[in-house]
Amino acid sequence: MARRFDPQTLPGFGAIAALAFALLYLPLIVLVTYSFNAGDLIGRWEGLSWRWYAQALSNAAIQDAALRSLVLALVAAALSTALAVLAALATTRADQFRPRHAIAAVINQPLVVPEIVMAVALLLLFSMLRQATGLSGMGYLLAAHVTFCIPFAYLPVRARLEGMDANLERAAADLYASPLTVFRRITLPLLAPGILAGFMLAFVISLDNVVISQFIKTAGQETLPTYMLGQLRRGISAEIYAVSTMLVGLSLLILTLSFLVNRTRP
Amino acid sequence: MIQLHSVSKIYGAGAGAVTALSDVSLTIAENEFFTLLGPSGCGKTTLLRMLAGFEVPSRGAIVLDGRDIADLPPNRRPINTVFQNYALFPHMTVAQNIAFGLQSLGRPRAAIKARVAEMLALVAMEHLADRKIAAMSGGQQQRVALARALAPAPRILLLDEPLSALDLKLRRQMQIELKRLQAETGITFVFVTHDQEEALTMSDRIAVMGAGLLHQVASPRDLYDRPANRFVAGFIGEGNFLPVHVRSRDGALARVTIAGADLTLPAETLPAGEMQALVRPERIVLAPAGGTGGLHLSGVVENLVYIGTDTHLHLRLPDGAQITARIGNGDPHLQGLAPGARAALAVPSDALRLVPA
Ligand SMILES: Nc1ncnc2c1ncn2[C@@H]1O[C@H](COP(=O)(O)OP(=O)(O)OP(=O)(O)O)[C@@H](O)[C@H]1O
Ligand SMILES: [Mg+2]
Repeated sequence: MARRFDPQTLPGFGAIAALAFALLYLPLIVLVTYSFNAGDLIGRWEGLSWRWYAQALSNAAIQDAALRSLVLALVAAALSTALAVLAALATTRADQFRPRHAIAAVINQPLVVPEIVMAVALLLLFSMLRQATGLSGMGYLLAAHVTFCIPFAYLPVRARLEGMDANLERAAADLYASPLTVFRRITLPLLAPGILAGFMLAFVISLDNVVISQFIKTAGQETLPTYMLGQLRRGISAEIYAVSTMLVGLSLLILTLSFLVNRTRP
Repeated sequence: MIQLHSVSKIYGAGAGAVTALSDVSLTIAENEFFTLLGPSGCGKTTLLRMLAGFEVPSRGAIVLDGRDIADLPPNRRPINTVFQNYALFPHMTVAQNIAFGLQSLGRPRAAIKARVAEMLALVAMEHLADRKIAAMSGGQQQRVALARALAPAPRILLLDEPLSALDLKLRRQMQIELKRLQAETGITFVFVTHDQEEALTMSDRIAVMGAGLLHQVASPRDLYDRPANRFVAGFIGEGNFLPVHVRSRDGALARVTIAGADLTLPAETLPAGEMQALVRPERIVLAPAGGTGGLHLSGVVENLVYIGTDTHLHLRLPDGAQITARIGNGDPHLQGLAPGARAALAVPSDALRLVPA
């Protein structure tokens, strides 16, 4: 009898899988472990301690950068999600929106263009804008974050919309609901898990970003990742391990939530 | 009363354009059970979607109470739809689904509550008012969809193959149920099906469609007895089609040859142009050869199929054509007939229906 091909039966499957997992998680394990080290030398374990966490949390520069990162991520995620919902509606619902696939590809541009190129391009554009308008401030950093967050918010929203029966909206319109009521009572509630997932994904992506932030930020606009990068240049501190571990924890928490939320089918 | 005046619908443009409906005119009366019947792809759903307002006609007018509503959006037409897949709102309960239309219309809360209760009773679903939609069977969802669409008391209810997802038993039951609801509510039903038996049993009038054209609008009996053309005759019921040769017409009488047999018929029963003779299998009798009056055919029995009360007899005529007769099992002439034997059939003149080919 012909057996179905099963990669698990190949010799060495277990070893390769173990190696892959080790590559994925060993660095994180080392990082997390040493963030709890009582000593301050790399590679020498001196016992368990919260020392670096306490130090990081009371460091004014870290507090400042962390707050900026959180606010930036929240606002960028909110704006990019709102734009992504509009884009998803246009590219899945509107018939007259002819080149839908081309438009979807254009929206996903930040996934394709190398981040460093995007960073240079934004830097160029923004310095021209600064010169022309004389405006400065957080707006530039925010605009940059919204830009690269859009595709991450767009994809889950669109997936949700595509899985949704368009007849539901027709049925609501047929039952005398105005287009706005249809959106409020049918589309939005059914889309909510996708919107939430998109928002959380965008939040994490913004929180995480270093390359573009590094190029766009001006004095006094340090985000948590750019602050960490700056500190590491000066010399490695276990304080940064603690901050990194907290960031990993936060990202993990949010991604898990977004996964759980999006699992409820339309 | 709703009227379609020369309505056409063309999807797309240029080389990829599809003509889904061409030049359809019809009138649907108040309080009528009206059925759109036709094979897959003939444009039934397209017609229904234009009545609902989901599509706009490419040409023509849709007139309700003297007003052209062709460009009116769905939420501004007193017309509700039961969707083929029901399209119930999954995040609402049964009662919330039924209340939706009334809420959109801004009815007072107490009136909505009373009407929802009334609708639940109408479809015998009172005990399931607070159920979520996902926790219901196909038949139950069907009833909720009906109640939801009937709740705002529309002028017209559109139903697109609402029974096609149900099993045969439930389907029969819902056919009766739908008839009852239509009679009780007095609302005009426009019902879509491709099942001719369903159409015949349920409808006051049927519109037979084929490939975007409207072939005939008539009562079930008229469609069966007086089909307007070959397409309708073939689509409604079983039928034999025999070639017709008109030898002469003089005054009120016409001499014709049907399947090799000569016959004189009233000229007024002959359509213009090419034609064929429709003979329903149940109107054919076994008879001794050489009788007079009507059409007499003889040939070789190809096959006998016992179907309970009757037997289907397939006879091969000398010119090679095959004809199917439905003979009651009590008929003594049936005794001793076997494949290969010769048999003679008679068709009374009034059972011959000449239709344009
Ligand atoms: N949105 C559309 N765009 C292009 N062509 C369409 C569209 N909707 C329907 N058509 C075409 O129009 C024709 C009529 O379709 P319609 O859905 O009205 O048929 P139907 O009679 O309801 O068929 P069925 O019994 O299979 O439901 C078909 O050839 C179909 O392919
Ligand atoms: Mg259809």
